[in-house]
Amino acid sequence: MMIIHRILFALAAALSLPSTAFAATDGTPGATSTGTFQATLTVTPPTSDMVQIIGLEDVSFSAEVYSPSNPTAFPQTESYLCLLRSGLGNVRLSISQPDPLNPTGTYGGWYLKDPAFPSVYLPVSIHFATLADPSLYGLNPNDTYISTPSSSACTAASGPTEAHTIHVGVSLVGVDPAQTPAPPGHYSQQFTLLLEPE
Amino acid sequence: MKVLKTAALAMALAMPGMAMAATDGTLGTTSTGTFDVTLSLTAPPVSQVQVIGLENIDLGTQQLSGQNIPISSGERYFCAKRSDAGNVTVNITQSFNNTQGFYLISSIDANGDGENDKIPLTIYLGDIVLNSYVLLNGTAQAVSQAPSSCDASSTGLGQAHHILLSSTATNTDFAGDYSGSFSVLVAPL
Repeated sequence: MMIIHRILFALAAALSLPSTAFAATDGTPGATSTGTFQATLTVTPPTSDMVQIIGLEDVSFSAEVYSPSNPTAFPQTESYLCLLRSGLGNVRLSISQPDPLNPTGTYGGWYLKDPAFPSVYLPVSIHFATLADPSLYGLNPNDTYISTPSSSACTAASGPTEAHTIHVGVSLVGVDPAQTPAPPGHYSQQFTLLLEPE
Repeated sequence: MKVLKTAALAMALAMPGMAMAATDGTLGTTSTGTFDVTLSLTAPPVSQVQVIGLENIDLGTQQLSGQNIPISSGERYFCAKRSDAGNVTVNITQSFNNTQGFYLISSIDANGDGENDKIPLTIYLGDIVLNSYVLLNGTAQAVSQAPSSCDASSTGLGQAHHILLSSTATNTDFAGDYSGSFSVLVAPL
């Protein structure tokens, strides 16, 4: 009677505590011997991939004077930045500025402004490229640039072998009013880059 | 003489289990004596085996990422002992769908395929002389027995056997608590 009660109690305990880990057991000496053990593993979901832009620099064009002999001068700069992702997959880049213009013709919608001349908009072009894909990819408002990430070794000091290339150009004639030479002044704009996992 | 011999023979036949004393011959032109040779054969002793030192193995927590993550338990030592000379067999079994593989089984069915999620597991058996074997579920592997000095605290080459669990968390696996229960059967070879 006592033996039966003990067995029932142990069985009830096992049923009521299904997640209880059982201790490993040694075998007893005999013609054969059987022991037991359990293996456990906890798998957690992945964190969202992390992305980061490194190496952005302000772009400053030297003072340019509009010349009738060079009315369409469009100085450009080239610099490098890292578009990084912690995991596998591409990145997606978009750009914004306050109140962009609608893209018209050759003008993508980005511009510089001098508060002293509220009616003058100097068009800006922004293009990206990589060593693997050197063709320039221009970004306009509402565009996105999808690319493989920069090399994981990319740093703020990296060049084209590891980093993406950003080309910024500015027109010396205004887009609005069209083709009006911009008066001398201090034109500027802040652009915001948004990088996301693709 | 003849009568005596006959009587002696009858006694031997009537009481086969009784050891007869050797007899000397009597003095004569010839003389005959006798002696018995006996031999008792018994069944060989049954080898006694025992498995000791098994421990539960916690493979820890692995966070999924976009890459395959190797998982290893490292060597976990135990003794497969035998009372007499000879090798042993080690047979690890896991009751799961009668497959030959080993698995860690989740408590949930995250992928909705009708059975709890599982991750394949490889179990390696190492003997005391550095041989390593990939075990199949329910298939005995012959190895040398552990030294008589092997006990639950023994570790290392030449001192104890070991098992090593190996798996991989891939980007197609699902988060969850995985486990497996295994029986280790040791028998004389």
